[in-house]
Amino acid sequence: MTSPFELFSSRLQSRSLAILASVAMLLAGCTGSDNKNAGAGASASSPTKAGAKRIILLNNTDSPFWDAARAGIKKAQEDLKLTDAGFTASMDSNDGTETGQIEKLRQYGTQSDIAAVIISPISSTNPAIADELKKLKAKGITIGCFDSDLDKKFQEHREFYVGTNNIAGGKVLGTAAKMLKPNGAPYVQFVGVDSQQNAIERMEGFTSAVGDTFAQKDRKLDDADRNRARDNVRDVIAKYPDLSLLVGIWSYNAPAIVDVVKEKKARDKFTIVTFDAEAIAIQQMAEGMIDAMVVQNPFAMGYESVRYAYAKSKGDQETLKGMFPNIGQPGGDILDTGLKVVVPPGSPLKPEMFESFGKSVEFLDMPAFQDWLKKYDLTSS
Amino acid sequence: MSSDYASPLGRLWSSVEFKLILSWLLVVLATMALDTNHTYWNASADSAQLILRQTVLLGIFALGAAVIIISGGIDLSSGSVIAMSATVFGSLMIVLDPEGFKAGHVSTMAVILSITGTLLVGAMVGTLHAWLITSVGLPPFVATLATLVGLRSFSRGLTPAVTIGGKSQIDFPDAGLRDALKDVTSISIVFLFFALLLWFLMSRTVTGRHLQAMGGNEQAAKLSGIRTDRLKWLAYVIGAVSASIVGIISFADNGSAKPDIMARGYELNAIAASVIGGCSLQGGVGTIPGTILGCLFLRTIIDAVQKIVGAGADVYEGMIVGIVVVVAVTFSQRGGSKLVGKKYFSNEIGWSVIPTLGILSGLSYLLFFGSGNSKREWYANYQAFLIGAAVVIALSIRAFLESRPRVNGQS
Amino acid sequence: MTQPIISIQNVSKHFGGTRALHDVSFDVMPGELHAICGENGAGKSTLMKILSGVITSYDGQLAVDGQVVRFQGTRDGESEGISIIHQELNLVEQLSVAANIFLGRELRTGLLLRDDRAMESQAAHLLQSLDCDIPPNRLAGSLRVGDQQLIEIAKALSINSRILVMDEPTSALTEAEVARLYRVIAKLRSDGTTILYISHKMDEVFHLSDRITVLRDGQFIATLNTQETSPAEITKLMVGRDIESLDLGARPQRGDLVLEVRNLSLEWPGHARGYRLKDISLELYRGEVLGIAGLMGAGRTELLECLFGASALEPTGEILIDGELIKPRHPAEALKAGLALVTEDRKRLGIFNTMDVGRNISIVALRDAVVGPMLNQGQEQDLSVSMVEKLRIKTAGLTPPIGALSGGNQQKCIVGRWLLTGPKVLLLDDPTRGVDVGAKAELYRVIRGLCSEGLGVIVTSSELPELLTLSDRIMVLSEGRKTAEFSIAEATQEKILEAATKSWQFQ
Repeated sequence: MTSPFELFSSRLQSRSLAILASVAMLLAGCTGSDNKNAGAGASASSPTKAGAKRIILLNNTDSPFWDAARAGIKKAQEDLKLTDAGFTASMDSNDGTETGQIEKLRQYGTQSDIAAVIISPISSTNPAIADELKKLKAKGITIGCFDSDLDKKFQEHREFYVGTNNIAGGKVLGTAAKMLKPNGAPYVQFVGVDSQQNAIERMEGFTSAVGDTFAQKDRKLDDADRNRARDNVRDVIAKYPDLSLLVGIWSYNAPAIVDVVKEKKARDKFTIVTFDAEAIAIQQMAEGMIDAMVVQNPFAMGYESVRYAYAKSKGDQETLKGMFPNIGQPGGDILDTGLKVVVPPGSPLKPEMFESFGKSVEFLDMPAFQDWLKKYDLTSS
Repeated sequence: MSSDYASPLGRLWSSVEFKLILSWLLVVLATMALDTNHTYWNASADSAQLILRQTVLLGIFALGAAVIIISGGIDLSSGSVIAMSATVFGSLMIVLDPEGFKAGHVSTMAVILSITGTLLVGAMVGTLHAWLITSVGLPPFVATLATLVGLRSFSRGLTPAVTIGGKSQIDFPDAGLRDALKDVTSISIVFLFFALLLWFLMSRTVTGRHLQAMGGNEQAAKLSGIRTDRLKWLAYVIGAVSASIVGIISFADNGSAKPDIMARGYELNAIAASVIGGCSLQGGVGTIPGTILGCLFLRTIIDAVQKIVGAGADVYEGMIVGIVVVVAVTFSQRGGSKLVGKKYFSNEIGWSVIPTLGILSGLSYLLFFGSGNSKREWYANYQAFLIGAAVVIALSIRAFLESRPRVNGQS
Repeated sequence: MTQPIISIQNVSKHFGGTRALHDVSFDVMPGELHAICGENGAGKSTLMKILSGVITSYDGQLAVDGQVVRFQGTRDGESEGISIIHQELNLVEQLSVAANIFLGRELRTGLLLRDDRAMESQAAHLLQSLDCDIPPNRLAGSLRVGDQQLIEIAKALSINSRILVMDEPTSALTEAEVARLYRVIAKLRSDGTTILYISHKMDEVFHLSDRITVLRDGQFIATLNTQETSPAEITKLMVGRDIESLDLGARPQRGDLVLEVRNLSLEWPGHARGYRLKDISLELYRGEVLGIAGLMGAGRTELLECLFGASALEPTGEILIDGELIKPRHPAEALKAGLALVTEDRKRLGIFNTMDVGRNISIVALRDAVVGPMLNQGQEQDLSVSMVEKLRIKTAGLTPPIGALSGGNQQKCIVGRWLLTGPKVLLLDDPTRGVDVGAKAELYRVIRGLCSEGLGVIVTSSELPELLTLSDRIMVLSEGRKTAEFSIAEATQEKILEAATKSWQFQ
């Protein structure tokens, strides 16, 4: 018969196991986080209120598109010597849902070391996301948008937008399509969600640029699921036999379209124009599978966002004025990171066709684009 | 020991609820100590509110899931019912008061009718489940699997029909109503009321006892004169209505209803919370307070991971939840002294899993450390290897000790 | 002095709060049939489970052929040549008879494929030696309890064990099947097999065994040579006191008609015969016990299920309680009409494993303990305690899990459960299966007592002596039809057997 004491101590044993296990696990997590956040500077054992301040970029869903942005963030961290000044900048990934972004914003709200939150809101009209941004702003955190903006009615909650002029982007792609198919064509646009502002604006821009000779047969959503993206392409090819133009709006739609067209050996039937340059897409264009790419500059999005946030925290008016000279005026809080039109060798497209868009649109052929990538040590954009 | 049964203190000490409370306190203390931000100190009201909100939102439909599990069934469709209810709630408001909805001020009558309608639709789904299971004779797994996929699809069809421009989601423009519906205090009161109701049902009424009996042995229950078909209907309706309540709140909380991805996978959180709280998937075992504690514990662990790991926490969230479920269920089902003495590695399967556990430990360590900081990468690799090897050695020693024949054994 | 083949030394075992065995020591000689006797809860089953490797952690030691052994599982037991035929059956219902016999030791065709044909033919061979004509490809779940037990015996025989442990093997067998088993045992003994035979049936024990060991309350009492002792002495050692011969007192007066059944028939779609029950009519009066005799498959359980509204298909015919026609389609309706049924397979159909003793007893009568919508725990416990006392259930209070009680005490809990409903008619399906002498006597007394309180009782049983002790009238079923009815004065075992084996030509 075991005495109560023995029973107690054996229960204690099992509980000690549990304690040990959880502490060990959490310890591992703890030291990990210190490495990430504090870098070489801050010590793990004495976290103080004056610890590293964080600048966070929160994306909408993870994708190779953000690699360039991460590179931009890192470069800004080095160039501006953020770690010495006690700042860190990083990108947080979202799972593609609005709930995910709302949860993360709420978490940031409970933490005291955040200097700025710059977000690509997955839904421009979601009032809950706007609410959370408003709450963070009230705490003194700098709020901005990158890559995709909030709807007009919520823009008061953010100070700035760094990213592409998506309407222009859509129009540029539409112009390219028009030049490639002067007689018009039936087409389908492929995108992740139709709630995000960059998607809406690009698609509208495209439609308005191509005009009446082009018939939009469908818009296919894939929720950032690559398998579904490919299935969507297969569906429309089967459903619309006279389809001849395929338009990719988000970065991974390009490889999805190309994969399926290759699979069906139907390259000759389709003209393919896409947004962004994932590493695979660049390769595919070199193989001649893509007719035109309108490339954003996520590197600049990352870099400039961090630059602004840091300048704001330091009260560096000069830099702020330099970045946004017209702040306070309509459109003055937008920093256009510019677009590139990239074409494969032997393309009928010429730089003159895009002159109307002005300086923000650059025309490059493949080799020139690849040089640009090398210059910034990037594999995609 | 007879004291296990006789003394109420003995039973309290070994109960699932007590162990959960202790473990929960442990996690909170550990987070307080390890969180470099001392968030729990600095922003205690905010942190508590966040955890409370999460727990309440999970708790309402986890209690519904627990009732079904205790009664011997299972419900895989909770997440889909949440998404569908959010969609139905939005749709009803649009249909009943289109102008008000668009303008952002839905009439009170429309709101009340919409809420009632949504709860009614939830009851209908529960009834459908009960019918499929009792009259058609499908196993609960299959019946709720069908609704898991079917309801989402139905909602996706509904959404473009009621929104302007045929959108794939319904946005919630009425800010005032939204605030009222997602306010932490109001949802906590709803949760409290619901929890008290279910607690009373399960532990103090004849129906509750009958539900437990049915879960423990359905045939014996029927032969004892218990109307098992009617009880199943009750359980599944409770489950679906609880999910509907959460659907309504989520619609306000998220500001939109996106039927294809909203609440995806939530049913597994509810089942995990119930099981952590002491419910047995075989049926007949489980309590309401246990499930509530299970929800609290699960959400606190997830919050702890986010606070301590910081950026990129949700990458590891899945792993940690997995480990927690395994550990928690093992402890809650066996308890105390037996576990230390149990043989975990005494056969071929036990031996062959040791390398897997070692690799897992080493890799996990590496992932926590290795990314991001190139200067220490080689060092982290080296440490990871050491940790992996240490785990393998420790477990092998334990396996060897276990395999020695025991001369004096006791239960 | 020959070395004992099995030597049990100072073996003890606890199950949570219950002390199942305490410091038990005795020897078994090779080739003998050694009977183990004891009441329920004496520790016999626990000891046998330790012996065969089912229970692996215990105090004390076990020696086989002089070598100390420590089994880690039943395989170890089997490789030492020990196999056990359990009282609680261990068959996989979804598999065939042959598959069950060879479970875990399937025959293969050279490579990795199962050799079903060889297994079936060997199984048929084994069953033949047991005088059993069940086809080896029948699903085990489709057999009645008695036949399933034969499969268990066949399974143990197929291992060619040299030590066979039989735990109450005849508890569900008919007389003919028991005789068959005796023949098999005789054959095994002539092959030199040592048999450990757990039973509380004195006639079997004295017919078969060489020596008898008596256990009581988990302790060893004595080992005696069968020749040198008597059933009375063994019973006294088992119970610890003199047992008077069973005197149930005067039969109570027969009251008025409480249950009348007219032309009850139950379909059996898909079967050659077409019916499970055909044109059964009976009358039951208050204060009397109607015994129903019959072989396995005769329809006894089906009849009780129809009366209780628990049959899968709806029967035709009429059932009247106190003159009122009832058509119970669910046990809840039968309950309301005043019927109660204690089922034959308590493990599957009676016990709530997840609940404690008290709740298992009170489950049907909960509505008697309510205050408004709430359950009053005090009242509920009073109800359960009243049954524990009335039926003398051996338990450490109301809170141990039901699984901690012995089989016999579990059965008492179920009987108590139904007594709480105050029924007019109590239906008992083989109620003393797996229950020991002392508890049986109590149950008989309880039944007699209920009759004097005005209940009508229907009892089915495979033990004819039991039916003859209990009943006022005996009805015999054979192949779904009623073949005879006797008053207790005119009933004899031979007449009953004759009526039970009457076969019908398919018309």
